[in-house]
Amino acid sequence: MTPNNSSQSPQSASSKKVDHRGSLSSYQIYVLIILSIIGAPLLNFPRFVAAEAGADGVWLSVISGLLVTGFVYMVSKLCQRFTGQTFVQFIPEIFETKRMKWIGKGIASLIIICFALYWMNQISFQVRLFSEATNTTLLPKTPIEVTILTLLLASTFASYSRPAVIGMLNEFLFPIILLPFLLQLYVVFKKGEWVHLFPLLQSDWRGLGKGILSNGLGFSGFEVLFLVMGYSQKVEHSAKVSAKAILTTTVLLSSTIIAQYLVFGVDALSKNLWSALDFYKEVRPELLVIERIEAFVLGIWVVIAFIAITNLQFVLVRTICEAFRVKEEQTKYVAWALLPFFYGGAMVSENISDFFTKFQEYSYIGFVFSIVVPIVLFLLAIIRRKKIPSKKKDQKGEENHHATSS
Amino acid sequence: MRHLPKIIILTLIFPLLAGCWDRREIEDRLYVSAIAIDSTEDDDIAEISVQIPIPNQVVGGGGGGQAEGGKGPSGPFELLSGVGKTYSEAMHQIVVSSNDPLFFGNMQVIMISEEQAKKGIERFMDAIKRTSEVRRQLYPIVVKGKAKDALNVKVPSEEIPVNYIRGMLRSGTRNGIFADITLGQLLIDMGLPGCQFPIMNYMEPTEGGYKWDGIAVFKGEKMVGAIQGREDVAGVLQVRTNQKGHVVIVPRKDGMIAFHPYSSKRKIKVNPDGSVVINIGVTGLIQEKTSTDDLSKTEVLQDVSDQVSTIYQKQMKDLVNHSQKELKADVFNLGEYVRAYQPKFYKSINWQEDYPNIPITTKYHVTIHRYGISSD
Repeated sequence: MTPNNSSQSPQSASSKKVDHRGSLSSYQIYVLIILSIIGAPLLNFPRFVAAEAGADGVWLSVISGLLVTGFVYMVSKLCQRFTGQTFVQFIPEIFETKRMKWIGKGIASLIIICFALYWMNQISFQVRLFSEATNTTLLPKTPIEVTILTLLLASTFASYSRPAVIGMLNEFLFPIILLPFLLQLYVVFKKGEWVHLFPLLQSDWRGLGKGILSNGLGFSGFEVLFLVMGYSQKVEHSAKVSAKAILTTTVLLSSTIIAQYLVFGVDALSKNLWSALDFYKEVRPELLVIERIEAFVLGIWVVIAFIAITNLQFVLVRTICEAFRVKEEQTKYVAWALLPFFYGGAMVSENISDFFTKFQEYSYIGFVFSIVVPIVLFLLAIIRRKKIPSKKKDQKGEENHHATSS
Repeated sequence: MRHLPKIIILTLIFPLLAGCWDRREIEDRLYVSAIAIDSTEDDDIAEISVQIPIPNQVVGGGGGGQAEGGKGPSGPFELLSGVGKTYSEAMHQIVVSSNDPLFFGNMQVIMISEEQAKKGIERFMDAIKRTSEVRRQLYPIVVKGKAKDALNVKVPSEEIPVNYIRGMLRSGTRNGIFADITLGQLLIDMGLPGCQFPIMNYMEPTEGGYKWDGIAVFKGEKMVGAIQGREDVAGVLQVRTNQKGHVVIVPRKDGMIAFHPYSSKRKIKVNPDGSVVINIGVTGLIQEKTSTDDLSKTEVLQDVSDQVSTIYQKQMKDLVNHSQKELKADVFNLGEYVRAYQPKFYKSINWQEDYPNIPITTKYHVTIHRYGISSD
């Protein structure tokens, strides 16, 4: 356990709130961002890119990754201006005026509600997506309600843990989730064909824009840093850490997309609903003990889906708790109270076509929102010179230092 | 008592654990090892047969003793058949006549009769690729005659004939002789817009076994012919799947030298005018020599390499002519390269129709690495 979990600042002591500032190390934040992005959608994401961006999806995935890296670096700089604060705390400060503080609170509430709804959608969709994949490929007779509920029960149980616990969980699982990415090199070596990547540069400007945006959707989930930056031990490193996390995610996402393009070709890929699993079925491993690596990979995907959903639930629960000043010991009630909404959201779509259509629509809306809002916040923070005064900052830094060393 | 609520919740979760619905005892399943697809007199109706091994009739399977083999309750496997307009309809007939649910996860071979292959295979492939149970590593093959009969061949060395075919296909592809076409590869080929001519291994049931007859060539979903000569198949596979090629006998002044390839690498270049240049590098060793040539001399090795290249080149030229003039089918999958490297040219033509007019040049570069443990 991180030593300062139970440390309380003078402010929080008055409100009987546990202060989680300084709970997460830079590495934990790095891992948490990556694992919040790489979730169940990656099971289907290369197919989506192939269908939306065509052959150019391969290199556009790298471009999108670099653009998102730059953007996240900017978001981190915004968070750095408000050391030790989560977005729930600093958004009102950006908007408020001396005379009318309610304006800040009003606009902040609106933004936070939008983010909360977006995360709720993401959680519901991810749960449904993963359940659809397991029911189609592994458990055809198991009712989808059961797979959805089992996953949600497990993730909800984990989601109301303290930030330090979530950080350690992510840290522990990170090496495991890298295994499928290493195995895909083997598949590419055995079955990949360079010719499948070509012809490149066939899209017009509109197509390129669509390709970049569709690839950008793969990075949905980076918004967790709005909250977790507030728990960072070393805020001064946060911009570099988050940029490194997005660069690592770019490598993982792009390598997955390129690998599947190399094996299937863009046309076969765009028609394969669960390409990530069929991809591993293409080879018969000669060195591994297991005969069917897709079963092994699906096992790891359970972990990937679980941790991504848990992270999103954690961020959502903490956001709600901070917004409504919920006491630490009541966090679990918030988490369990949200479960029926996730379940309901996951069960909304009647069939898989309807599900994918809704998933895409909401993901596009949410992604554009989570790009536009931080830019506005960043510009306003600079124009209005909003930041935590350096004295206050130093004081908080000192508190963190004391908390960590204790 | 503090943990009681947690214990209650966990106990409640247990019945919900996913997987219980899909739990099947191993003896409550019928493991399909192969399926055969045959045509009937009615073009719209196909016959589908499944081969199901009976574990207690197989030696070592608990039944005891050597079974008679073949169809029927006393044999080591059972053949069930159904007919229908679609794969699902025929399969439904099989399902209702079997005592346990069928499991396709261990299926090794899909046999398609030549007659049905000529009528088209897409509708069956569509049904098969939608079934997640089916392995993409199984072998789809075309068989001469009735595919159902091919499942019923008595093989002395194997009780289940499909195990014999699987072993044969596996070692043949490892040795680079047979086409390394699995179901996954076939589905990829059928999905590539530039690859309009999929291929499959072509086999014939014989007395007591099977004979490999080369490769069946498809135009879209329909079989249009076969390439049967050993050298011709090796040439196709060298270009198509980078397989190593075949042994070449080089005549010398007072004997001969046998060149055995062990790897080959091809590079395909497409010019803006659509002409294709195939460069194939073959590496191998001298396996046999009856001439008096001294192989320790570099110039002799070079001379032999040049002769091997010339022989390969001539065979390949004949093969290209055969594919363009007689088969009129792009057996080398060059369309995919033209589409990838010269997309404008590809869009300006109809590859299926215009393939016979495409200028194709092949160049071989043969390297002899070693000549065994003899010093000359």
